[in-house]
Amino acid sequence: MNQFDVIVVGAGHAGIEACLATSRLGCSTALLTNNMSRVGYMSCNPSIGGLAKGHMVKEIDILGGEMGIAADKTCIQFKRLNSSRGPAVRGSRAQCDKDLYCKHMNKVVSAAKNLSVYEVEARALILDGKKCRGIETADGVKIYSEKVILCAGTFMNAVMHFGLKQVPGGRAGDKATVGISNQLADQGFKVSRLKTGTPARALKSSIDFSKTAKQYGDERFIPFSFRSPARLTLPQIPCFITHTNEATHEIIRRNLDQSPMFCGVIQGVGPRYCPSIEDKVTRFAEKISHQSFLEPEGLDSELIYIQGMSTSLPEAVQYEFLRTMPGLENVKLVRPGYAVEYDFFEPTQLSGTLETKEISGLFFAGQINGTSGYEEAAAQGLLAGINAAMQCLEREAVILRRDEAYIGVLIDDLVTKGTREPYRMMTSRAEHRLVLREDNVLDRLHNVATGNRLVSDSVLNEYEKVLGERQELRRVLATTAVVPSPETQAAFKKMNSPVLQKPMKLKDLLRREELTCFKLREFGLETNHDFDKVIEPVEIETKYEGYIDRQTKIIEQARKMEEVLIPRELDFEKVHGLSSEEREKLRSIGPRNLAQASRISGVNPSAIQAIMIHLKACQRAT
Amino acid sequence: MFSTDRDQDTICAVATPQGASALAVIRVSGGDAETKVRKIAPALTAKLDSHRAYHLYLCDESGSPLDEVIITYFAKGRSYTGETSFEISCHGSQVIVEQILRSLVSAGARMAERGEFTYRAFMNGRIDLVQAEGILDLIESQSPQAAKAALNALRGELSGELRKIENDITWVLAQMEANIDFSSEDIVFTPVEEILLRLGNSKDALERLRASYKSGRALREGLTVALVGAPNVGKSSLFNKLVGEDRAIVSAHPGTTRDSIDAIKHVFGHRIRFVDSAGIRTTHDEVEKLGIDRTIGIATQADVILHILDSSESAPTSIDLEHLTAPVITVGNKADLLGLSDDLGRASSFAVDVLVSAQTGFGLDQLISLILPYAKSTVLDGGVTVQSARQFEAISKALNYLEAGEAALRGNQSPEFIAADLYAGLQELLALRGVCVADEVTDLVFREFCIGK
Repeated sequence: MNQFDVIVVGAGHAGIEACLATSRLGCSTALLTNNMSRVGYMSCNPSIGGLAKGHMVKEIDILGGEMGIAADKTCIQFKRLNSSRGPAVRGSRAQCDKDLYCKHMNKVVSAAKNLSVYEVEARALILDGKKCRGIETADGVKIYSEKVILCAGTFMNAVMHFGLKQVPGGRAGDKATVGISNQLADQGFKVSRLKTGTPARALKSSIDFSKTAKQYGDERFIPFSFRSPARLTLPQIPCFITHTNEATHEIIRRNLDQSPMFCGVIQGVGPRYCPSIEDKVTRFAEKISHQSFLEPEGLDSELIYIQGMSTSLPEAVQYEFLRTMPGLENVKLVRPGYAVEYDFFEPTQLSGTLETKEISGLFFAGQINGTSGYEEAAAQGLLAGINAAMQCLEREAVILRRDEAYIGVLIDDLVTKGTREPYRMMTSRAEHRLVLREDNVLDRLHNVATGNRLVSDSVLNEYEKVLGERQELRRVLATTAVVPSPETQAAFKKMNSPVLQKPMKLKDLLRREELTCFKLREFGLETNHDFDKVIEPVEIETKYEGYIDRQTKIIEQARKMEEVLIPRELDFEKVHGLSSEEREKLRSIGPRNLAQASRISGVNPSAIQAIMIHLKACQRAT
Repeated sequence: MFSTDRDQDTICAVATPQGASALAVIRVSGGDAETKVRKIAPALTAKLDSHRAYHLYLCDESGSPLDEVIITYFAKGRSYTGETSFEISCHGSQVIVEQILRSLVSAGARMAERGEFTYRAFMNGRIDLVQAEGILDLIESQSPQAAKAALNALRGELSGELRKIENDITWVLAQMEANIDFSSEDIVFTPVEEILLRLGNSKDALERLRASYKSGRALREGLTVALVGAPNVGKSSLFNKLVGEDRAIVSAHPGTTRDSIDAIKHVFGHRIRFVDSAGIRTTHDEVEKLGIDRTIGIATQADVILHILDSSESAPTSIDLEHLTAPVITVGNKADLLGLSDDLGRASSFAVDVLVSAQTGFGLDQLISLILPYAKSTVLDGGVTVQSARQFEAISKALNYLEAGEAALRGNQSPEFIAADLYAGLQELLALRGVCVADEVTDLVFREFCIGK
């Protein structure tokens, strides 16, 4: 009863994926949460996905995670962002019904085999020297385990700021977690503070939507998950656009002395990519208006999320400035916006498996590693879970490469470079962006899923089936030619495509901008495959083959550095030509290979050269 | 490459040219240089100040004085190599220099290999790759102009120019990234015209650098002058006459020269490299054919082509030089076989620029005076030049990527494709400066430095 293979602390987006992964892989798992009603709760905005984030949700899905299924099932508005851009930077985003999302997750964790959920507060880690042995709860109960995955989100030593008033707590309605981060700081962990914020929630009935512009989602729905039905389950609803104006800005400026951020009350570093409205108004003073989406938090929800207006000003000031905005003249707030300050652990203290270097058996995932965002958290939770399970099963670690997945980029960035502000994923962080697309996640990751048995046999069969169909479509395109004839030439003219000079392969025709697989049916191409899963991916890889090939070559070159392994026991003192700063950084990060070493900031190319020479010299010596 | 244990050694070498001179400078560098130097300089004060010169006598192991010298001390992190270093200014006699070096070696130092000081400077992050190449050029520079250009690279002027371009590309990339990752947020994007302008500036700057290579190469390697022509017009005889020694085999048999031969001649401070080549004609001899192919290759790379004709023939055989871009000077050889009265008439009738005789030396001065202006045109005034083939290649590649990126931008392509080209271009420039990791690049530079085994 009080002995498990794995204990997961926290049932947010990271914790859910972690405990589902370990239990799915056959490890007996305990999930500890402070509040059963908030399993998988979306603390901030009501959507899943977006640019680079949609990519991660799909990667999580192929590797057996739950986030994609939950988002598909509870989607109330779907959009593919950047849809007019190239395929690599298109990102799926689903606005979800928050309540239903929570309920879905609650149901899934409650039903999972090998998984027990407890509503208790974790107070301390049970340590045996430098090994983690379990968790002691606030009531003094000891639960033992081989591995502990800490997914405490923004809850550790958390303080909420409502204006200059401070309240301990990691989220409105939930108390802070105390104990563990101090215990770990005593163990030598480097703990710092970050800050995040959330806007006010308004009462739907208090808003005059006729003064706002409606915005609907896309007609076409593409599910995140391979395991979801192709159709939406819930009715789709619009969002509403309103704007700030000079009057709004004036009120904000006049009250800056009541903003804890501007008075220096908040010490933690906030996300540059998600600034508060105070920040926007001061830093971009020349901008006379800022846009805000009013987003329903659910189909039946009375709550409206006022996007873009994150703030920590006092409630009275929030009322005052919000009421200057069209549609919000009589707005009533259910909950004002607020800022949260919380502890995070410098993620360079982790290895690529998300296990801490200091204490074996202890893993960190999610916001406690300095990230922001549901998807970033879920991705880490999943990989921490997989790796904890791999250790229990005495199997090899699963570390995704940067050219393989956004999740690989995420974790490598965290453990190699660390972060000084809440880390959010962006496509520009992926140097091999053109090959990390939503449409080819299956091609990229099915081997990892299969090799590590991360999904059930029936899902694996589905993967195999889809991959087989893609292969078949590629074969047909590469081997079928269209021959010039009166009929074919007429067809080309009708499609505004140049007529043929000589016979042409379907594959080459598909490269023409104006042609698609659908149009090539005219020339005998059979397209009864699934469009989302088979046709579109093949179409994209054909049309963009040139760019993809070029990127693949760069990847192959980069991989050479990836293959020069740095032995764990390498003494950087003995490597000549390193500065003491470089030695210190290399020692603390402990890069696995030369490529990772080269990404450590402050480690110069000459240092990489020096390490390489040292390794060669060692090789020669043996 | 050096092995790492050798990198720990204290190294020494004479830094001034061999041969008698008033003064010579010996450099000593290494973590342990001070101990070694103290062994031969017992009079050195206990506490040393960096960049300060000390006047004293050096002694050998037995304590007998070697020379009266000035020793300058450079503290770790403040020296050329980045290590503790000394520069010993001694008297310039070969014997003294050797004695001091021998004493240093018995004190535990070892003789530096070629380029090793520069290698250490690079390894310790004191200079970047372009600067390292500049030093190599400076050491090997054959003319005052070449030395000046090399000095520019050393001072980091080329690096500075590259950094400016990198900054511009980085700026453009930032515009692209904002347009991708934050496209749905309501931000004002930079107009395409402004981005094109910035990109155009970078392209122009790279174009200038690329164009400077030819003159840069001429500075380093000298002006290359190729002698080409039909067989047996006396190219080899003329070549020997021009370089002032019998390097080429001369025979009356057409097709004797099958390999090219080159020799350097200094004329008024300019370095001119003459290249003799196989005669061009239709042949079935495989070996000769190879020679002819090589000639065409030489002619393509030459800065100036001397097209040699036999002016004693009534209809001299010329060869087709249409496709070559270098300036051509048509030279009528064997002028000695012409009657004096024939000269002018014959020369004008087949339009030679100059009549010469390899036999008598007639007209050679005039020929040189026609070549010299090309050598002078390679002299640059203070401009930054690209000096090595590696730099040229990287800059050309970067320029190609920038052009592709610009075309994509004009063609309204999605920004991530434009960015892909720009990243590739930026990468080339970074690799050129050794600012990112590219194993091959550093290997190549240090291969030129002939380091280690």
